[in-house]
Amino acid sequence: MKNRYLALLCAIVITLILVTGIGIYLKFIVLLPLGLGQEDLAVALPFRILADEGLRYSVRLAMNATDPTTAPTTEITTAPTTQATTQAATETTAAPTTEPTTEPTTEPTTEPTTAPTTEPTTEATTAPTTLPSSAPTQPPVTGESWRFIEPQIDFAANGKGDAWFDDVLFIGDSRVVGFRDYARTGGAEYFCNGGMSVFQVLAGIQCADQGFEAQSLETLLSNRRYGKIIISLGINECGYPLSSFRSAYGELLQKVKVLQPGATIILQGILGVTRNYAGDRSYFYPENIRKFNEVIKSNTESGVYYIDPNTLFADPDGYLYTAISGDGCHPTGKYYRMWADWISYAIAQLGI
Amino acid sequence: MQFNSIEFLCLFLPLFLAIYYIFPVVWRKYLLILGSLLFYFFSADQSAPWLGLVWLGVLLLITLATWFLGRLLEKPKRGWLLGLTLGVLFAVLAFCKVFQGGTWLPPGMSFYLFGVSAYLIDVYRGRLRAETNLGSYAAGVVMFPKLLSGPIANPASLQYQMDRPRRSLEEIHRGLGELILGLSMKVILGDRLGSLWAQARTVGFDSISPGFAWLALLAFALRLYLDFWGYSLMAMGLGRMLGFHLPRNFREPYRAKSVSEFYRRWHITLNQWFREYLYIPLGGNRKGTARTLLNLAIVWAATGFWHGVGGNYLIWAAFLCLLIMNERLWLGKFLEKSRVLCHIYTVGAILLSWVPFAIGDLGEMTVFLGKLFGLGTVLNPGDALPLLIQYGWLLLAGCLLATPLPRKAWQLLRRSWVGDVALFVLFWVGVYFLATSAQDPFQYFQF
Repeated sequence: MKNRYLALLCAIVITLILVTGIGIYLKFIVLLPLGLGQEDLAVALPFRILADEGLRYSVRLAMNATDPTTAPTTEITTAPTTQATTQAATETTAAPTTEPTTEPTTEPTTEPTTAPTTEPTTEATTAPTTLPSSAPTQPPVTGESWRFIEPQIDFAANGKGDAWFDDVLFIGDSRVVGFRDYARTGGAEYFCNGGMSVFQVLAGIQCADQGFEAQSLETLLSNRRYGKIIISLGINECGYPLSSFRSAYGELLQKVKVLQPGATIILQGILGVTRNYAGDRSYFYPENIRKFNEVIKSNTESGVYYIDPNTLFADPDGYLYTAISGDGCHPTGKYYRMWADWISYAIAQLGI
Repeated sequence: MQFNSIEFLCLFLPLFLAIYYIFPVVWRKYLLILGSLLFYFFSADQSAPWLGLVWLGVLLLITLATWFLGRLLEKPKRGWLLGLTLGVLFAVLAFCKVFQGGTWLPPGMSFYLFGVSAYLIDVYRGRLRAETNLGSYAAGVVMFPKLLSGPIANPASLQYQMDRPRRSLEEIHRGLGELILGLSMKVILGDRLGSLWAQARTVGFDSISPGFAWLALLAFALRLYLDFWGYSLMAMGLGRMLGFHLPRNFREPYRAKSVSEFYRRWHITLNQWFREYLYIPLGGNRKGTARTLLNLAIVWAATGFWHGVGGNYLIWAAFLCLLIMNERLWLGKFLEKSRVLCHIYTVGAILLSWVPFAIGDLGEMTVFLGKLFGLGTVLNPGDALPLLIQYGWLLLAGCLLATPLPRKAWQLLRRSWVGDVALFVLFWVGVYFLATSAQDPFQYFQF
């Protein structure tokens, strides 16, 4: 009796495992990479109902976008010397919205020193910015990473002061979580979450901070007045098609402008990641980050400004300095302090 | 292929088991060899299948050579041959340690090389008969449940089981239970505690508060424990399902009353190996105090090297060795007096010992140690509180699993339908986590 029960149990369990295995295998390893079955594939996975709503929303949004040229898997193999930091950070005029026409070369990006000869349009890495360049250009210690040297400028002394932040709202991803936790400035408030994306904000994701309960951005902006809003999003969207990011970012900005008509809006460019962290994920390459930053920057107009933290924390190749990051994606706690001071300084430079 | 991959759990294993059970018992060792070789081959990055072939070549070469040498060593005692063989094996191991972390290295070497050298030494000493049947020997070396990260088992200790594998549903049922419990410990608790430790790295050791540092250290310790214990339990369960009895690797280590007892309960097969094949041949504790201390130092230096040539593992081993020497000389008598005190001392010492184990960089290690004791600047003294709320129940569950309670509870539940329902739920929750989140490799896979 007991044995029959056990045999039955074992048979059921093994069959179930096998069936699920084949299901998961088909879905995640065969169909998804082929670009099939993003919508509901009839695989009876008991946990499908548990799937995260926010993720589903953003995937659907990204997949519905019809931009075949910039699919998440697009290889961006252009040498990484073309970096976003060469852009003048104080430019407030709208940047051209046309896509930068970069020639994909077949060269892997292991040589940090070779400039792409096919691209005469990019300036040298030490091109003058209107901000005094705080990114030191020391030669790399190894062939791989550059040495970070603390900027000479006293950002705090030359910035707007902490009181300027009293009516600031930060909207952002895990990097803003870093500000919230390790560089809380003035009376600023923070609407942020690890892994936050524009798609999630639009989907109505709820966040809380010291001053407000968990609520969606729309509710927050409807009930409160902010003098300045700093939007710092984009790193989690880098793997998605550029066009879907463009429209979603525009939509978010429009929403913010409508709900907070009097506020000054500062768009923060996406800070790159370290070379190691990027690894073979081409969507993290400086070239792709620069494209996304172009999109963000294209939204500048009167009352909407753009600042680029890559001038502070990215090496001449456009990668985050290894020395200031513990995980390759985020600056460590104490550098958020520097970053916050830098924001204050960059804004003073813009004359806002 | 790792045990915690969907490919293994949901494709390889059920298919293999189905074939394994269908065929007659006498074929099983050959099926086991075949399955294990496939398993090893698929452990290589599939973008470079030739690498998998090279690994298979290395594994087969070592298996064949040691089988042959075992037979050579048995009859006339050839000490020089044993010395030469062990020299080559340990040179290979040392080479692997120097390049530790290289993805091109055949995985699991530290484990199976220790297994085969134990076999050779035992045959030389006359404690074991050399295995004449190549099939049985090879199955004992390459069997996939223990191939990648132990438990370190003498392939010949499985010898008698090889020809008479147990065939009881009871065992299969029990093995399945162990497999699922191990998986859940790793995937549901271990991996997620690991992200608390990762968060401390993200924020940077010089930026976290002391509270955060302690939480992170606790999370690291529990993660390592649940991860490796979970792995070992999975290996045991898999072995049981195939009809083999693999040795236990963990015996509730955090119950220990001293550091030396902790290491008789933690990664038992490795520490037993060092005890059996290094400490005792060196004289153990029979040659006076000075000699005992020297032997301890040698064993711990070797243990440190086994984990890696990085200086941090030597610091880890030296710290533990000093504590154990201390216990042997005078601390032991002192500790015996109080049950509470000795637990506090042991847990505290073990927690601190994980600092050099976890952090490879000497500078960062110092910063972190300083943080634990309140040195350095604190940017946000309250940063531990939200983490405590977020990870509280995971930490609590982890701490609970460090006590004997869950084992007792499981012994009650194991034979009732409640246990089966619990396993069923745990399995699906585990697979859910596997399918939806990035998979962390097992911590001991690196060694």
